[in-house]
Amino acid sequence: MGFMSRYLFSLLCLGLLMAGCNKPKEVAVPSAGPNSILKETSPLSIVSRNTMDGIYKVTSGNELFGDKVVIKWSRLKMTVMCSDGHYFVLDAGQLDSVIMMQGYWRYCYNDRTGAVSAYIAREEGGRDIMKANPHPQEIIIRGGYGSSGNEINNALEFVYLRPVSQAVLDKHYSILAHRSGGRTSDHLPVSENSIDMINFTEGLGSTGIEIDVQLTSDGVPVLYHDADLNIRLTQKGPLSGPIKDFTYTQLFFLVRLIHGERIPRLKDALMFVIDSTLLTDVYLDMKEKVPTMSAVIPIQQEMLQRAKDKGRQLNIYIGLASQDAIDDFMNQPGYKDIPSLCELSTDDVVRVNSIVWSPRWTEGTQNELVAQMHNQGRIAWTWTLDDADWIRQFISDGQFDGILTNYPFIVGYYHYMREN
Amino acid sequence: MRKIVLTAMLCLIIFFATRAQKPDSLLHPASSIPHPKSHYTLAVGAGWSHYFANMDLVPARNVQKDFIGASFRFMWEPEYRLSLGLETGFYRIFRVDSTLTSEYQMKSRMNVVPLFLVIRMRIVDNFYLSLAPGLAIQYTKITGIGPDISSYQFSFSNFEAAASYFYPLSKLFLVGGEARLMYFGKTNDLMMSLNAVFAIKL
Repeated sequence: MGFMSRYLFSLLCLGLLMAGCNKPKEVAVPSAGPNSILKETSPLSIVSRNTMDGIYKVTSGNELFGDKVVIKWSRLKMTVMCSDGHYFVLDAGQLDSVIMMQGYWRYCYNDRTGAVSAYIAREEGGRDIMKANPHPQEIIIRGGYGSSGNEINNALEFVYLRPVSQAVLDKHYSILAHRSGGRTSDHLPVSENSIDMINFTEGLGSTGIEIDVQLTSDGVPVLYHDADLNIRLTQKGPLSGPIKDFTYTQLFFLVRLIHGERIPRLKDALMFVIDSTLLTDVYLDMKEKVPTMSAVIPIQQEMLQRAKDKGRQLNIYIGLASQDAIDDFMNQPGYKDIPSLCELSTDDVVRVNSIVWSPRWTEGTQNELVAQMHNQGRIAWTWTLDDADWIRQFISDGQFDGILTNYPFIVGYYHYMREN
Repeated sequence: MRKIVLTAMLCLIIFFATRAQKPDSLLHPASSIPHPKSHYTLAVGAGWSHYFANMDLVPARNVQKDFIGASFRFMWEPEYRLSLGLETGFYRIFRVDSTLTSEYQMKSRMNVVPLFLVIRMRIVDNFYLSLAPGLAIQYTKITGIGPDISSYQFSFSNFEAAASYFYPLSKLFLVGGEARLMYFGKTNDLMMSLNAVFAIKL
């Protein structure tokens, strides 16, 4: 290697070093913008939305989205769930019995996305949907999708096959989304462990959430995953260091999550879950090794009472992921009556009387142990399962009552596709 | 993954640089100046440091970026072009003065103590370029909003690039100047410094 080449090589290495330190790019969410046709429409009733829920055959667009999709409405959004990690988040409204839909599709394993615009003509299901006919003869969704930006240049067509099975709807199966609904690292438009994410996650198909709880230096439980404030999760600001070193007031004024949200208090997050969502399960994942139960359990109890007063069916479980956490939990008065979730052995589950047993997915379906838990009146979830093939296998072969995942739309696809 | 890439690149740099080296005794066979086979050097520097502010949350006008910093470096200098050493120092990265509300007038400052593994190459006589990966401890102190808080954290993905000039005053003593660019990965902070340096050969 010549003299100059060595220096050029060194410069190249330095350039690569600097490029490697750059923050990852953001994924822009395609939007119809201010000229959206949806501004001219009126909202759909809940029963009309329920009429649209079901299994659809993909007759155009199947090269990207597979042969079948599940459409499921949540509180605000219409979610299209595909088998392999593609999903749509759509808004919809009606105009003279024509159902208009706009939004975007995403692929969860990379940053591919595009705009979506579609409609259901009056004679192709629009009238049935407006009449909330529970057995629509025909629903055909026609439209298009784009491959980048806001352009739409590919045909899209879904044809209604059947509703989601009543047996599946009657089953309380929990689709739990990680980190209050989704990870920042998956380039979602809102930050993990934020109230905005709790608001967003139902649009991904979640029915419950796992949230990470830590204490500030003045003992306020807040939602945050990592041990320290860092540029992975927060905007660049004047604070950095372990989150437990700072007071809540300091975090409130001086820290913003990556998309600009504040770090929420646990109490505010749970109040939002109760007052503003239809989520049914919350798993509080205690990230601290120091005792936190005495600060968190009173909030859990207060929020369970609030949910009960409002007629909301909501479960809030204290997560027990280590022996230290169990010891801390067992020091609390009446701990056997406190709803909890144990990630350790089934013996530990019985010892602390946890309602939920939650082993990691790598331990397999463990059908015998799950059946044992069911026989004791408990439920079982597994975590954190993200691979589409494994999700399919766990749903088809396993007996779990729910799956914690970063990709709730994949769990939703395989769950709602079931016949029973 | 990034750590693996960085490690691989550094290994490649060392491999190719050392492959191409020749002892000074071969480069200057007729030189009358005696060249010791190797020696150690201790260098102390002080000077101006500047922070390239990139804060999302604080207006640039509230960020003080220029401070005095100090560096300390111990080098092993064989008779080849390439030398290795350890460098530490003390730098203030930034100070932020910000009025948040009538109640809270916050002051925050961050200091850093890095520990770099320096890989340095003599380009021409007395002029050197170096690259240095390393660790750092970052100290944050905040006052004026609730209790005063001092906190620290470790940063593991940092690097420094530097250019140095040393003028030999005698066989033992050298003076010179250094320009360096430092990046601290944990907080995505980039700063530069211009130091006057005094060095002694041990």
